[in-house]
Amino acid sequence: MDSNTDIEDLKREFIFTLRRKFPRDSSSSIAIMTVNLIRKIIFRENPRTMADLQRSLTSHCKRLHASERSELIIINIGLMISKLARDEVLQKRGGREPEPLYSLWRDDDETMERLKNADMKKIRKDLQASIKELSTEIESSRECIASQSTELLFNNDIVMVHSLATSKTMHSFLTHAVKSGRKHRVIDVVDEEEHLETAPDFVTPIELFEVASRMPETSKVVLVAAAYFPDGSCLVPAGGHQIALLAKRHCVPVYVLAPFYKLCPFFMTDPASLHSFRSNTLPFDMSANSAGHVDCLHPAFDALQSDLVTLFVSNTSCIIPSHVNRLKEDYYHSQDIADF
Amino acid sequence: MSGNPNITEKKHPADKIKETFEKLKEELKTLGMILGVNNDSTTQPPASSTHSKESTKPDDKNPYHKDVTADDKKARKAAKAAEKKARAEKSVANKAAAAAGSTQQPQKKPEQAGKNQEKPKQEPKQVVPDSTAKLIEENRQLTKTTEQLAAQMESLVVVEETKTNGDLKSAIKKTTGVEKNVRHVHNVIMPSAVTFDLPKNQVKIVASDSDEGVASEIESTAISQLDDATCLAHIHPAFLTLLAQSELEKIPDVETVCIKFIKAFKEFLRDWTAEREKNQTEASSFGHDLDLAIRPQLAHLTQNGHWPLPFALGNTVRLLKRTIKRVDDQTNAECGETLQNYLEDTLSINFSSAYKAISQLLVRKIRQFKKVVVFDWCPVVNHVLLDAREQIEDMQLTVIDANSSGRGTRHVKSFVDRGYNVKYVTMKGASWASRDGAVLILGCSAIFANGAVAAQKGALASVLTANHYNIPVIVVAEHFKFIDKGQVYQRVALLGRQNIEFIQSDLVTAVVTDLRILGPTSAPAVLKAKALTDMA
Repeated sequence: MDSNTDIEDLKREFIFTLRRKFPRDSSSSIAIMTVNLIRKIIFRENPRTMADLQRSLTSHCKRLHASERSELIIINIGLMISKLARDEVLQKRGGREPEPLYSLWRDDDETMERLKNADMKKIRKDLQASIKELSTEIESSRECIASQSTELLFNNDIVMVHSLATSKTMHSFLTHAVKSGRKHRVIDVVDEEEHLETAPDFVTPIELFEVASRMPETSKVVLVAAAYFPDGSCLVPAGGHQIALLAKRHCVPVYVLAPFYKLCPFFMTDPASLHSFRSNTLPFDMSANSAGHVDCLHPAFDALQSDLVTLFVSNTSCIIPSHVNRLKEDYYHSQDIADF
Repeated sequence: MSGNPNITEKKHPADKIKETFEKLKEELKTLGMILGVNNDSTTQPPASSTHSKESTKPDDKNPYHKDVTADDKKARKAAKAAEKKARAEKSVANKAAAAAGSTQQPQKKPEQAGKNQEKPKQEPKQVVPDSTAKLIEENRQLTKTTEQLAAQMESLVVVEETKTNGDLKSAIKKTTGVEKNVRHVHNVIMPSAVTFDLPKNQVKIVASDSDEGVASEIESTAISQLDDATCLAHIHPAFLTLLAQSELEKIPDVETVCIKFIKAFKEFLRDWTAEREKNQTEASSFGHDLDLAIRPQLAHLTQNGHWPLPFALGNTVRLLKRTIKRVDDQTNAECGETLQNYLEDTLSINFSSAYKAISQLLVRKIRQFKKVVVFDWCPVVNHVLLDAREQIEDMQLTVIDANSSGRGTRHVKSFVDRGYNVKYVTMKGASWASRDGAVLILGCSAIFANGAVAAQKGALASVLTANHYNIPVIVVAEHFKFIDKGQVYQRVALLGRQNIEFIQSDLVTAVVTDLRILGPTSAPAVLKAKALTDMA
């Protein structure tokens, strides 16, 4: 059918865009791309009932995620949109709000029936509107997080950050603090020698192996999350685990910048599946001998346990790790998670 | 003049410098004649031949320097500075003619370079009756030449350090014979010649032209403290080589430093004993004299105490000094022999036998843990790993490296050369390596009395990740690495001036020495056993 091939084309193009970009686009742009893609899919598919909508969303999201395993954002966005749809239905119906405290995992049968047969036509416009709201929220999340920097970073702080070059959120977080007149020093942990020269002016770049000797003089550590989970653990770029362990040893608070669309409602049982192992880091002149003998690991992420993180800085507020489970209720519907 | 005190100080110890200075003057005079001499040289009386040379030199240099425009500007700057000084001194000279004569004398002295003092006395007698304008002119020229000569002197000193006595003439010929080289010499002299501490980058210009890169490193350390420059003549070349190699970061770890130091010391001892035999000195004072002789060598290595020796090397040196003091033989030759034997023994005990003992102890443990993780390079660890891999077929090795293409690649290379498999990970993946591994083996630079381990940068992070995943951390240390001090926060010499990280004893599971495997807090026991105490 026309719409089907259209949808397939859209999805393929989306995946290719993701794969083509190296280095990886910022997460917020990927999130916005996903939102647009899903909006187009819904528009083309034109589901009649709520149940149809949910089914199509889950199937598309699963397939997209399967082709790009390290991007958890895709599933997140899909589930968020599904929740938005449910909310719209409930609003239209004027039904009672499902109270998570008093109901168990599943809604009662009556609500489910109603939802299944809900007519999409009536709520489509509102759904489109709320999807647009979602994308504006994603866009504004960076500024919201940056504005919280004034509450977290004080004068005469020595802040250690990681991956300043690759994260625009981190960059805006720090520049906001600098602009509002805070006088603090920033130590940036960089990956390679090249980044050492291109660091911005207010930043001192150091390499990962020097972190231990600089940690005693650091007063705060700021990391950026790739994803965070309901138990309070998170995925950070590789190298973050050591920084967090050293910070814990020296009793330095660790703040993790985590916009809402990175909140994954599922626990990750096997983070190894997320990795994109890339370049061989051995020197070139060894490559002749070492072919077939040397296995170079170049992991993309490190998993931080929740006790290593002091605060997650989200676009709404700062939350402690144990609160993440409650926060996910705001964005995801428990039914969706259960059915996934 | 700013140059004068420096120059007068250098006079004293270095007569050779005076000779070379004379030679330089001769050469420059001939150069001046080649380039076209002006009238001043002919009008001066022959008695003050030096004075004529000096006055021709600025004139020679002026047309010469028009070719070299950058140098010309700098020459002008120097000349202006000299002019200001000349004006100041002119006012003094105008007030008292006698005072003028005496002020000119100290100016002359450095240029005379220890020649008979009659010539300077003649010059003021000539100059004083002249008009003040000529006086100013003379002053200006003389101050310029003073500065030039002083700077030349420094460049000569620089050249001299790098060669032994015999090569000095060739060095001078190099710097003055070929025009190109002379130009380079002038490059060093002219810029900011008013101030006499040559910036380091200029020193390297000289070196890169005539000498190899190794020499340039030595010069940079010497020029930074001008007073020591002439003392380098007494430093044995073996130690100079050692210092140069370490500056170039060719020495990757403490063991190599120790081995090289012992070898350098053996060379020094051989030469010193031979010289002693030639001088027919008493054998009874052998130990005492050797002790005195070794002090300036060590002082140079540590830059007069600014950079203390690496901890383990400090131990070795102290033991060596103890043995030297106890030496008591009939003849010089026998004393030398005893010490040579002692050094040989040290080499074998501390290095080859120690490695074997440690690997014997450790391979037994590795048998239980199949997966081994190591951090950065250490020759002892490498030895242990190779032994273990031969004996244990299914051992898997992961190497964590501080930065990409760092020293950890040596481990990889040694394994790959034998056809074994190995995993390689940079610091980013340290957490993953620890998650997979079963034991972390570390080398170290030193172990302190409280059990703290001094290791390379990045070791602490690896140890913390290992602790997080609950895998044991084993540190390998020969007995001479134990130090009777608490934790010290210092930089060390001779290792590329790297900083060291300290790992607290509670993070380390065990220390393997060539005596036995111990817990880290048992360090004082090793100190006592090997009589390394009271060494602070």
